[in-house]
Amino acid sequence: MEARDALQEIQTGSHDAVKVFSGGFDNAMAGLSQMAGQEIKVTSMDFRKVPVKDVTELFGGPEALIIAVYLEITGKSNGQMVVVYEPNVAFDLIDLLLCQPQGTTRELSEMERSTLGEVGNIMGSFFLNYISDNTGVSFQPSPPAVMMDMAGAILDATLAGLMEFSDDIYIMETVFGTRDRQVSGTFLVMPDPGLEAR
Amino acid sequence: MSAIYVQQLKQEGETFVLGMGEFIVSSSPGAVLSCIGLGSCIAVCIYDKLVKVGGMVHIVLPRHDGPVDDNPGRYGNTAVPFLLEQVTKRGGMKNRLTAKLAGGAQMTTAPGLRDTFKTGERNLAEVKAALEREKVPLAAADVGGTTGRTVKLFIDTGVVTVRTVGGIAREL
Repeated sequence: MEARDALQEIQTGSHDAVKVFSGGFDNAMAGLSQMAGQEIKVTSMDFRKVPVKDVTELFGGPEALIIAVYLEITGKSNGQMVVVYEPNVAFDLIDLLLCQPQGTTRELSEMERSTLGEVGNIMGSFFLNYISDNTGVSFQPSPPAVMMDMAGAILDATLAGLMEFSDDIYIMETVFGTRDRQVSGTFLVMPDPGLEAR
Repeated sequence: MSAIYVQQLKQEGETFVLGMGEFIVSSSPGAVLSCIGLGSCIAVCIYDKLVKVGGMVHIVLPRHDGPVDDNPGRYGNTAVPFLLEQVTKRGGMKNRLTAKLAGGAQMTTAPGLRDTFKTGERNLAEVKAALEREKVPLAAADVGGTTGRTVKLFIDTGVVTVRTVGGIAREL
């Protein structure tokens, strides 16, 4: 895979890109498993193209309440990653990671934000490490930003930049969990649209 | 040659929802113009209370220099004069127009990020500058902060309401 196009390849939906992306996410689950101290696996993965203007519809519309963990990708190319959860699902994930009974977490205070931020950090790092290893290009994640608000509000700054260059983005919807409990999140990877101009 | 702006707005009854970069002008008494889930984006509401004509645009980015035939509603510096032109074409008088703004938030202040989430304050600066150039007074604004907003403009009264997550709509 051309180093320059390492992230951009993901947006073309090419077979090689899908393979690398899938491998990256499996690696992200390995990291999450280490964090949780129990096996967390991807149980399903759907990779597809979505119009930028319709991205918020994936989460119930622009006013839908979501929790998102946002990280930037820096390196030879830049980009962004966002992991999006329904709030109750995010709370379940926190309970799973903190070995608490399901239903314990009911709000996003400092501790819960920190936990989700660490989840994003681990997933992002493991994902990018896999991409780096398989493309020969070094990528690093930024510190995570955890947000809980309307989907449109959280995503519009990111989507605004994309809209100038592309009408569509590729997204990966995943379901993951332990043998006993399932959580589902949507993992979006968006390369810096300025790549095309370089 | 005049540009053609193709929009397919989401509509339910007389409630119109503007996507990013979209605009609408209406004089229908029952019409409600809205922007849902604004983060860094800004809803600019323009209203002529004598003839009850109003318009809204969903601004996404601060500035574009050069032709924007395909989407003038997207940028703060082009959207404001464009919306004013559309409102006056439909009966509004420029010297009677007032503006209200909502949005322009910075949804995260987490350290170590690029300036993506600071787009809101840049949007706001461009919109305010454009309104000043056009000499349209800013009657009210609910902008900045770190929360998302849903905005509605009611054409029969000119009332603008703003709602945040978990809150009730309050008049601007």
